[in-house]
Amino acid sequence: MLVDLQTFCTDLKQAENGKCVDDSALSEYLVQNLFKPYMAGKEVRLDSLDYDSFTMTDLDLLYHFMGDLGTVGQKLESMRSSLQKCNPAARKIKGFC
Amino acid sequence: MEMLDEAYSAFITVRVCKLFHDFGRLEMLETGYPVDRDFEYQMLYEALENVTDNVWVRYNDYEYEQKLYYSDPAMMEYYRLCRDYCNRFGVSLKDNPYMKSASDYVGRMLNFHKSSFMYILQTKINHEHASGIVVFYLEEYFSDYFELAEALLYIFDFYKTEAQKLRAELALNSDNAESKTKEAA
Repeated sequence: MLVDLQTFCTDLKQAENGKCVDDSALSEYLVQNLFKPYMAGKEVRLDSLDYDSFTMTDLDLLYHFMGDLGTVGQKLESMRSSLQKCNPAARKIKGFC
Repeated sequence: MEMLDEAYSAFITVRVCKLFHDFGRLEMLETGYPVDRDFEYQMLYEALENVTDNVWVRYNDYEYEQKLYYSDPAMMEYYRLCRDYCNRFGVSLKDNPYMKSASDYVGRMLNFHKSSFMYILQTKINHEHASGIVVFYLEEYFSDYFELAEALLYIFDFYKTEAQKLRAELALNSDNAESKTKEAA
């Protein structure tokens, strides 16, 4: 596979800057007190959570969100792996950096 | 990615705590440890052993079979009241609508994954814990810990609320019968 790095970089620059997964339906409490600290490697204690501040549905939505994040992560990983496998190729026309 | 997989397992502990909190039984669980995937199964076993106050667990090492017996005062009362209902209205236990309704409810709640475990509903009242639910599963094939704990919590909640309704119906009938007797006198 050949990748034109110039086109690739231009595409990346032009790509819309935004969230890769919709998180608008997530419970703010769960994001701030469970998901973010946990993913940052901080300790979250079970007895520190306020179980009145979220619902079982909020937890389900968080699971869906994590599933979607996982899918995006897999796609990125597959792209990274493809790029890594690319061999360098010389330009057709000689150029100077 | 690995972190997300770990989070997926770790958050099961939060899910169990939330479930028990919603049923007013959070204090039955040990919550003094971190949200961590290492505690996932510990929490799930603990959940299964704490859905009611009266749970007996027997593990068969040889066959890796887990056997749990759940009983509850509300369930005992429900089946006592069912017998009162039979006496009051002259119906057999088999034809008692409350017996059928409870059996249907338990069936609906526990038939979510028939092949992974078995259960027996006991409706006797001849001793303190005669009414109950026996659950058997083989460790090797069972994974529905959360679903089973959730179903059992709903079931024992059902017995609590339905016992109140049944008691109220019997009391109302008793009042009506008394007033009719007075009128006749």
